[in-house]
Order: sequence, then structure tokens, then C-alpha cells
Amino acid sequence: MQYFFDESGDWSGRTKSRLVMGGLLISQDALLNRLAAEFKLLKASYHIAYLHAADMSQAAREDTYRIIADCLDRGAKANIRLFPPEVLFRSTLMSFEEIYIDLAASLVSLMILGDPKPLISYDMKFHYAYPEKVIDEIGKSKPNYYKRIVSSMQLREDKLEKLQEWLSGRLNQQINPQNRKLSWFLTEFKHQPANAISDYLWSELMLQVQGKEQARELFRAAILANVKNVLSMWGQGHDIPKLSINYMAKNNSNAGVELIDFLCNLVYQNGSVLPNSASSAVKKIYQMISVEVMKI
Amino acid sequence: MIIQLSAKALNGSILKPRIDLSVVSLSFGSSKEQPRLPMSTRALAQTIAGLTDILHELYPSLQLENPRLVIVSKDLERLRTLQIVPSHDSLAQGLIVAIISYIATEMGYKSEMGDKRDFMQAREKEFSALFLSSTPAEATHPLLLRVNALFKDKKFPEASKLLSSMDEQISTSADRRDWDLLDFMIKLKTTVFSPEEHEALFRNSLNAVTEHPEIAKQYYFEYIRFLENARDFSRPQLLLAEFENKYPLSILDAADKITYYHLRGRAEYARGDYLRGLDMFNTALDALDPADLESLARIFNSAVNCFNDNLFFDEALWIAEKAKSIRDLLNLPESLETLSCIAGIRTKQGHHEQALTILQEVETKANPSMLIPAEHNRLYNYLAKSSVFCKRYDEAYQYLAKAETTGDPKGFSKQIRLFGLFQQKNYQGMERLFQESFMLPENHKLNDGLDRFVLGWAYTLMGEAALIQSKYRDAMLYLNDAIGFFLSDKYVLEAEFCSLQAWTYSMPEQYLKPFREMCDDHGLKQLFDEYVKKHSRLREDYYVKFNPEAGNAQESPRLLRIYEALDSFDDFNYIPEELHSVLISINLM
Repeated sequence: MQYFFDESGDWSGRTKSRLVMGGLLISQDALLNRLAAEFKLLKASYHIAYLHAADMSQAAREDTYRIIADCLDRGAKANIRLFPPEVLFRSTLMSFEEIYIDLAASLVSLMILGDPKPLISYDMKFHYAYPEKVIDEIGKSKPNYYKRIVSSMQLREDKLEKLQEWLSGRLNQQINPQNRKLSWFLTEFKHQPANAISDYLWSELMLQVQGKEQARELFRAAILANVKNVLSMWGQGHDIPKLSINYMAKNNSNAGVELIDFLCNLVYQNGSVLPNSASSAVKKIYQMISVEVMKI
Repeated sequence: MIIQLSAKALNGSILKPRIDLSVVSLSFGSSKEQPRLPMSTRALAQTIAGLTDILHELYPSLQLENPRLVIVSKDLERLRTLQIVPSHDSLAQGLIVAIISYIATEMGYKSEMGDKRDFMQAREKEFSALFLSSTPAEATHPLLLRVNALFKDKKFPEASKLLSSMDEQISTSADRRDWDLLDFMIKLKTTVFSPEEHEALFRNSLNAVTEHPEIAKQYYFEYIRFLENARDFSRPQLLLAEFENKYPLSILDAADKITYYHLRGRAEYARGDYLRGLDMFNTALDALDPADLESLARIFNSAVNCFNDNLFFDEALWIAEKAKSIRDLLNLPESLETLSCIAGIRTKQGHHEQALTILQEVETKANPSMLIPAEHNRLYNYLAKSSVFCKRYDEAYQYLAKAETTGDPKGFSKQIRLFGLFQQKNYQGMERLFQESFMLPENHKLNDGLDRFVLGWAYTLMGEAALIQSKYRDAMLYLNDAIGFFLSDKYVLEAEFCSLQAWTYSMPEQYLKPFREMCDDHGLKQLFDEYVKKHSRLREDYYVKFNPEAGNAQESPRLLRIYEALDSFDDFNYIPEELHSVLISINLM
């Protein structure tokens, strides 16, 4: 069986809005195949590259909802969990990232339990490359292979202005103004913008790669530990599933990931109870999905 | 009893879980016991129908209607949480087998006695006596009640003497179980055993009551309380997990639930999880009967340090004083424990003379026989530490000598000795003591070694002494180790303060850069940021539960103010005195 997971909301603890995590189960390849085809046609007819609710017209969104409702009607199952933002602030010992992995692994293991060969696709955003971390990373010594690339690559001049704007916005929005290293970096950014941007981008890339590897290992281990724990309690400890986890980004156009992303976003916007003004397609979706309001 | 079910998982897969369940009681008479069954009504109806059919066949003359059952199963509750649905048929069949087996065992059946049903059929009278008449609860022996009261008043020698004297008078099995439990509780308070002997005592006692979850839970709770007092911070957590794994929380009555959440909260606090600890205390408060002031004071007392350790001094003091006023009102001996808590707040605020005066009051009022060894050790260590802060070294060493009469396995007394030497600038003495104890590899072992908090402070003090003597290389290594010890037990605030010593003593720039890298390797900055983000909200998130009338705070939390002051300083361009004044504004040791 194929499983798809995604989340919505700010899981890095910076805002106090609701948090959402969702899983989708599609047990028939034909259904997934049909869904992928429907999404492709939809994108073509509206001239869009990705299914991202916030960037779509009302008509495109409603058509997407209709396709999703139809897919659920044909047997796809979606489980959405709604968490209060405080869930991230309830443990001294676990970091935001560890809490996220714990909750995500709990949802995944619940959905795959009993399946000997679950195929999992996950659009997971681990929080390893936020600006504060990137700036911290810039000052650290780097391995030689890294230095070789950085010293031989140069930022394209035609990109400089756009990147300057992008990084300014990122620093203004996402970083504590009293950050110890920020003043140093801002000075660098002001006087030698090309160097500062280049340092930032390379450090960010490095963090992304390292962070993903570590987080993926932890995630896989957490899922397996949950499943093993449950099965061994029932004398079925030898039935450990063969996990296949593929990490997807939305722009990879994976239909399952796109669908669950859309659903998570829908529940993020509306919560567990729909307003009366919701469209009939959305109402139909809510009747067919399970939205669990999780307590702390 | 283990039964195998057929069940359907969320994704439709068929599972064959083997689950454990216990039939706790069954009656057909006028028992007021309400059914406690973790299953669907359809499976229940099927079970009852099947059971009554079998019993009608065995005892046709008896009118057996509406059986009242109490079944306990952690596994059935787990299935529900995992959204796994057992088939009604397999569940009902499994339950009927378990109930029949329970009836036969209660009637005295053993496997070597042949066919179970023949055995049961031939004993209709025994069946009626056991399951049809409602026998009144056996009254507890009055002397056992007296022992219990003495124990509560912390009069352990008297309780022990009375309990031993009545050993021969115990006649019912229920009284024997109560006697055993009291004997276990008193032994924990009065006998100095090795940790292995304590564990063996607990396990043997527990094995004797495995069929009685109502009693087993008391053994767990008492043993966990004992371990907490002995400052064993890992075992309570493990024992609570073991308990939760074995029994569903539905076996806990209202009073047990308060005890359970209180112990969970304390265990979370003890391993450094203030936020989970406070969540548990809040849950215990939610379950509390407002008239139960004694439990209220106990929960308040335990919550004080969650606020105090995160620098919410006013809030901690309000909670502690509330707990003390209740304990004074009820004339409870634990009032002195709360007084010690208040001294702890004064210590953290840096008001050492006040702390010392309070602790001396505790010492005067405490009856030595009421203090268990761990409490004795703790009180005299606190007295010694406050005396060192007040520069009364002779008194401090006298207190330390008293503290050490009950041993010092976790090193708290030794750490105060090291602190005394540091305050007296006796750096050679520090070096000797350090080499004899803190730096020995066997003392660094995770469970059997010294406490991580002790090691963290010992290495910090050595680092500070090295900085004063301009031995910068040594200082960096000591401080780096100290940060490691603190962080291994998640003392993030202490680790951050320890790291900043390097700057307050103006360590030369060539050392500061590698030292900053060491701190970065620990991920200290990120840990500290996240720590402050979470813990600066304690007042708004938790305090209101303790003091519903508390309005908004006048100023931002001290933790946040300190964070902002520290975060704004630059590694190579700062005023050491300013940094020093931030660090000494509180006392984390």
C-alpha cells in the first residue's frame, strides 16, 4: 500500500497558530494513477506548475477539491491530526524538531501498522536551515571539499540584487534582532553583499544536506521503534515491516503528496469544524476524512 | 490471562494480537460494582450471552442474570488508541475463556484436577457463595490502621514496633496483604539497604501481589517515592513506564490518579523536564477534590522548584507559602519540607543569610527520627552550602560532617567542600579534592557515578579557579567538560552560565575563538535559545493554575531579561563587569 504524509503550520515554534499533520492511504495503484492524471489535466487547464492552494484561483481550488473528494470516495483514506501550537512547548527535554519527529512517526506508524511493505512518501520540512542556524554555521570551520567549491564559485552578478532583497527579507522576518552574530553578519552583508550572500547560500546548502540525513535516520528509527514496540507486545515482534521512505517536495509533482498537502492546508485554514459557507466539495471532503483534535 | 484476537488495523490489514487481560471481579448478586469493560457494547453483549449460556448449562437451578464484571486490560486499551478493531467474535470467545478460567481458579481449580467444567459443575454451592452473595468488605484490623497513622506522622520506629508486635494476630488474607505493604513501606524508611537489596525487596513484594493490581499499584507508588528521596532520578521514570505498560490507568481511583500524576510530575521534574512536570501537576490539580488540602499542598510543594529553577522567584514563593500555610493549618510534619523549599528560593535569589536562617529553623524543629537518611543528607548539605555562601566555613564543615554520616554517593557534599575551598581561594586544596574524586572515571559513569549536576559544578569551579590563576588552557578544558556534564542532563541554563565564565574573566582572544567553537559544537546557543523560548512562558502557561487570581506580570520574565542581556553581548567587544553583573544576579548552584 502507498502512504503519503505532509504537514501545515509553523513547526519551528515561532508562531502560535494551529499545527496540522496528515496521512493519506491509497491501496490501489489504479486510483493513484487516476489521481495523478487528474492533477496533470487540472494544472494544464489552469496553467499552473504546482498545486498550492494559496496561489490558486478560486475556480482552480474548487476543481482540486472536487478531484480530492472523488479520490476519497473511491477508497483513499485520509487521517488528519490537529495540534494546538502549545504541543511544541510541553517538554524541556525534547527539542521542537524531536517533538515533530515523534508526532510524525506516531501518525506514520499508526497508519502502516500491519502492512509488511509500506511505501511511504513524505514531504517533510525539518528545521535545520533557518537563518539563525545558517549564520551560526557560517563562522564554523569547513571541510576541504567545501572550501574548494566555495573558493572556485562566484555569485552571478545578475542575481545579486534579487538575492540581496530575498536575504534581507529573510533576516528581517525570521531572526531575533538581538542575535549575537547578526550584527557581524549585517556589517558583512552591507559592505560585501556578494561574499555574505555566497557564504549564506553555501552554509544553508550544507545544513540542508546534513540536517536531512540526520533527521531522516531519526525519523525512520522512530517509526520502526513504534511499530516494533507494538508488535512485540502482541507476540508478533518478528513481523517488522520493510520500510520504504521517499522524501518528496511538492514540486516533484507526486499526486499523493500533493493531495495530502492540500488537505493539511484545508484543515489548517478551517480547523476541525467547517464554516457553513464552505463549498459542497469541501463539505464532502470533511465527511470522508478523519480529523482528530489532539490534546496535549 | 493471554488471549489471541483477530483484529483489523486502520489500513485494513488483519492482525493477530496476543493480549493480556485480568478478570478482577465477577458477581451476579446485589453488588454495586459498575461494569468496567474496555470493549464495544456488541462484544460485551456477545460475551455475556455466551457466558450465561455456559453457566446455565453448569448450574441450571441458579437464576444467573446480568453478570457484573470488572476486566482490566492495558492491551485492549492500547488497541483502541491505535484504532485497531478486534472482531467481536474473537474478543467474546477469548473473554468467555478468560472468565471461566477465573471462576474456576477462584473456586480452587488447578490444572491437575482434570476437566475444568466437571470440577465447576460439582461445586454449585462454592460457586453461589463466591459469586451470588455480596459479601461486605472485610474491615481492616484496627491496629493496622494505627500503624498507618503512625507512619503518616513519620513516627517510623513506633510504627515498626507495633507492626512487628501484631504479626501473629493477622488472620485474613486481606489483612496479611495490608501488613506486608506496611512492612515494606516502613522498611524503605528505616533500613539502610544497598540499591540491589531495595530492588530485591520491591520485586519480591510485588511478585506476591501480581494478581491484585489494587495492591500492586501501592507498591509501585511507595517504591517510587522512596527512590525520589534517594535522588535516583532514572528509576522512577522507568518504574512508572513499567506500571503504565502493565496496567491501564482505569484501575486507579480518584485518589490514586492524583498520586499517579503527582509522581509522574515529580519524576519528570527530577529528570529535568520542567514543562512535562508542570503538565502532570496541572492534571493532578484538575483531578483534585478541592477539600483535599493535604494533596493540594503536596502538589504545590512539588511544583515550587519548576518555577524556582526557571527564575520565577515571586511565583515560586507564592506557591511555597501557600503550601506551607496549608501544612501549618493541618499541622503536618511536611511543613518543614516546604520551609526548606522557601530557603531554596532565597538561595537562588542570592539571599544567602535569609536562606541560612530558614534552614537553621528547619534543623531546630526537625525531629531526627522523622528524617530518612536521604532527607538528613539533603538538609545538612543545604545548611553547609548556605554557610559557605555566608563565608562561615567552620559551620559549613560541621554541617558537611553531619551530612556525610549518611553517605554521599552522588557527591553533593563533596561538591560543597570544593566550593568552600574555592571561596577560600585554596586552589591547591581544590586540586587535591578534585583529583581524589571528581576526575575519577568511575565517578563519571551515568548511573553509578556522581550526579551530573555535581560534576557540572565541580568542573565549573575548577574552570573558574584556573581562569583566576590565568591557566587558560586548563580553564577551557574544565569548562568544556562542565558544559558536557550539564547538557547530558539538560541543565541548559547552567551550561550557558558556565560557558560565559570565559568572558567574565577576560580570557585572551586566542583562547576565546576555540572556546566559542567548543560551545558551538555542544549546540549550546541553539539549546539556550529554544530553552528560553519555552520556559519564559511558565507564568502565562502554568502559574494561573496555581494562583488563578494572579494578573499579568509587571515586567517581562527574569529568564527572558537575562537572555536578552546575554544575547546582546559581542564575543570580542564587551565589558566583562557588565557580563559579570548579569551572571551574579542569580545563583544557579
